[in-house]
Amino acid sequence: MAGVGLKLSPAMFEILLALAGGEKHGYAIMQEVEKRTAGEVRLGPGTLYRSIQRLLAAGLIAMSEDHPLTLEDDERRRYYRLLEPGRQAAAARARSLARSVEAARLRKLIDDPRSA
Amino acid sequence: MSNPNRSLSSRFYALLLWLYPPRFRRLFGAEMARVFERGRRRSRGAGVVAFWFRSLSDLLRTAPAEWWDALRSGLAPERRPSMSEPRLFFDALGQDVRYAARNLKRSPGFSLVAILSLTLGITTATLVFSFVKAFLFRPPAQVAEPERLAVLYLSSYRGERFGLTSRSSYGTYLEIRDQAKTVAALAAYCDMSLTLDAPAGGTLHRVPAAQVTGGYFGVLGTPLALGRDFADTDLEPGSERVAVISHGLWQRELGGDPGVLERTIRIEGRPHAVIGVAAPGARSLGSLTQTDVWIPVKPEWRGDNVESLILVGRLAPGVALEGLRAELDVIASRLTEKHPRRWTDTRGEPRYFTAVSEKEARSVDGAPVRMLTVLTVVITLILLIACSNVTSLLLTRAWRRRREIAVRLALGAGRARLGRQLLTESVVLTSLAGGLSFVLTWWMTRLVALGRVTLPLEGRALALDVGADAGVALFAAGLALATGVGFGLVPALQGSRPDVAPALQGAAAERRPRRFSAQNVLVTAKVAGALVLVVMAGLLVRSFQKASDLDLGFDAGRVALATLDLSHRDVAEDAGLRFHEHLADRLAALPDVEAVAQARNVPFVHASQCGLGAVEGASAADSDPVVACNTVSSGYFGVMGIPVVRGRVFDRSDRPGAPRAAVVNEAFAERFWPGGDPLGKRLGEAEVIGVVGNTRFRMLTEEHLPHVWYAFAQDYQPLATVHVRTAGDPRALLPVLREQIRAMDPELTVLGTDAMEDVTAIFTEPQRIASKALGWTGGIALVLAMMGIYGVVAHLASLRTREVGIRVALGAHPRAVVRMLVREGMGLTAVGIAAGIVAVPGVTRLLGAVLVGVDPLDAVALAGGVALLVASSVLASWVPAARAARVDPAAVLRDE
Repeated sequence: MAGVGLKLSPAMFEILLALAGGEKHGYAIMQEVEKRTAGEVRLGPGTLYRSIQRLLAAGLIAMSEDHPLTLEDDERRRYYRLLEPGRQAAAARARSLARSVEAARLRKLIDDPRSA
Repeated sequence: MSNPNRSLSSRFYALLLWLYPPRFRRLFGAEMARVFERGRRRSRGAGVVAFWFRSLSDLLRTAPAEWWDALRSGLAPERRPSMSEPRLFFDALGQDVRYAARNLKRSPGFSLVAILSLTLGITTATLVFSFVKAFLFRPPAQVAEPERLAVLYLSSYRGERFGLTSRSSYGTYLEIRDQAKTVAALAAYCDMSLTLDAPAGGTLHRVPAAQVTGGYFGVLGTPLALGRDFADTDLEPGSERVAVISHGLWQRELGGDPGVLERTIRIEGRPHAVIGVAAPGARSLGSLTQTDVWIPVKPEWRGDNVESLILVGRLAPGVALEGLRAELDVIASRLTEKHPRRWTDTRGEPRYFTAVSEKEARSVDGAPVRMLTVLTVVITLILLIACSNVTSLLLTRAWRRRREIAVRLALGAGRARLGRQLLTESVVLTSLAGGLSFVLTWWMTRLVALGRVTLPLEGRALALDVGADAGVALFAAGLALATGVGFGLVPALQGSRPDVAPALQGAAAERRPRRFSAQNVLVTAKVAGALVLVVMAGLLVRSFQKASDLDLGFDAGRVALATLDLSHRDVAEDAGLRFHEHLADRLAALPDVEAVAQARNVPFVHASQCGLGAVEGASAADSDPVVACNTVSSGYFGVMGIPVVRGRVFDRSDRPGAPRAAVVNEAFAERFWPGGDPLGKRLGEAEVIGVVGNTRFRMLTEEHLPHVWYAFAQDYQPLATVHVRTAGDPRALLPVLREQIRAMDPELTVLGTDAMEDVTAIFTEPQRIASKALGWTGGIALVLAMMGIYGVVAHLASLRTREVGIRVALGAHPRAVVRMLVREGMGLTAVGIAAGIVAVPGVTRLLGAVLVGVDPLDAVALAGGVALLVASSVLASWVPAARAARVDPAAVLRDE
């Protein structure tokens, strides 16, 4: 049921990817995406949370209430974590992207880092 | 507390967020504002413009899209991803329970603390309930038509009805039986203990017993399983000794022998023929303990001088209690005319009868009722404190989960459903605790039933059917449910409130914890409750100390008693005296025996009043007074350790024929000859030869009353108690005493043997038990209250992390921060203590009956309680505060 028929927008995929590296709060997700894409993809608050909402509703991610509340934590921050269906959806998308990248390499659109 | 650091642009952005649909805004508004804030801070110079541009375009792009989504899903049926509404109630319940169980398992620490806390409270309550239930609902001792029974008490010589002397003599019984027409049948009884020889030749042991008059079982309507009731002929002098035994005794010690009516049992060393077996459950009216043996009223008690019988009569048909009372008044006045001395009390008023219904008689003594009230108050307080701890925990938990809850609300969960789920969690907790409590209660009551907890009344076994039965189980379940719902309601309501929206908007709205928040109220209540319990415990401890230290005026330790009766032996006075002298010599020769004396009365057990005749030098108002008296042999004051203040005490020179001697106590001298010299003054025919120290002889709490002693040799008593002071354990001496007496005269009736200590200990036993019990509860309450304070201060501290971090970063000394937090915690405590101080007098008043020598408003106990609570609160506040102050300011600020 989760994720069926749901179109993974690029932003959503990026968010899933970021969460695959561990629980994060919203701002941390935004920062990682910005860093990883070298500034190409910048998630504004609206886009970020819109995507998060749809991912939540689809059961691909969840809010993490297990996050231990230490004194350093500010309760204002909410943490998100990847759920299994989300992991699978991201993996599926990543695999499809990998296939595209491989094809692009074969057609010499991009450099193959394996060739010298 | 609004964040003063929020820049103008952030606030503007927050305003712009209103362009989003409400649901989205509720869910994510706070986070979006923060993300914007941080992004805004990071951008510099021209980057600010670019940042603004990006943010605005992002907003303008996504807001309409959200509106579109919102409208679209509004038309389509709501999809609630995690909560499909089940049709049936039980499905919902099952889901709720499973969900609750899952949640509780996820926070084991919390669950454990909560369950333990609740179990403590519920077990205490359930235990007490099972005892109270057994006490209140005990069957009225196999009595037929108890509402037609009336119990008759006789007013004492002091003018009121109390304690041991609310009883009548056998002579009085006969008078009323013959004269009263409103009573169809009258019987009398007296509870006591008897020594029974084990039939199989085992050791002697004491059994609870009763002396009764003829037709006793008939009057009460108690059926007999075998044999017959006592008849008047059994009470005639010279009749064979007979006894009726209990069903339990028959089964236990005689093996349920069907031929039991042919057998005899040895009571107090003498054979009694068994003439009947009572039905199971038969016992004395209103008694907490079972009765094993009934014997006819002993011959030596069948006169007018021993007032120890309680009268119980069956109302004649058509007669009401008022009719009986009226007739008793008439009879009493008739008796006062006939025997003025015996029927006038010390105030000069005629003595009177009181007739009460059987039910009222069962609760004739106010002290048990008051004790019950105290117990109820105590366990209620404990329960409340334990539950309030859990409520605090639940509140904290609900508060931490508020965002999860808010999301679920925003995603369309029904508020009622959500509240129900939260409530289910607390009910699951309390149900677990309730189940655990029932098991604990069952185990503990089984211990009681098996060990046969003995009442401190000559070791009589408790006949209460204390057990964890269906009623107790129901109580535990009901209590668990009630506390689960009652104390879970507030967290559930709070947690599922729609204006948990501020929670979502985060920072601003919920910074400052509200002054009258539920948490604060709870802590205050806990502190107040703990103070009350601690003070109560303190009072009882002091009272017990006083009671133990209470100077009885005599030394009760190491004295063995043996009550003898020479009357039916028909010996002349001088033979009786010689017997006693001989016995005293024999006993004194025994190893370990230091001194021997005889006395008519034993303090706290018997009491007599004597008319003094003309008192020399007394005022007219005091002519022929009646005071407490006793007849004792020489050496008595030495055996009892009563100090001689003036003159001398009895010695061998006080023989029959010599001038009658009397010894008085200081209170007596004070009353009749204040400031004068008592020696040589005449009391009727006797002359005062000495003054001794004051003693207490009837009640622990009495003030010193006048008392006079006469010489045993000059005022021979066939019924007397031998007092033996021993160097060793008096209890070990008791069988030796019996042996010695029997060796001198095998047919002699030994009415009873006891260690004096055990007799007087009866009066401090309730204190000791109560002070121990309340000491424990006070301690528990204190611990629970401290936990509560700790929790709240930790909670406050975590809320103020940022503030604390900033203060420390700005150079504030951590200790100053700690002090600030502790002050806040102490503020709550102060309110609680104030509330507690107000409540204390009301509650401790209930203890008034039990306290000895301690005022319910005792300042020391109160001050001690307050000091203890203040100290505990400081500790409970300081620890979390210190932890909070150790926060790394850099870490806190970094998160900005």
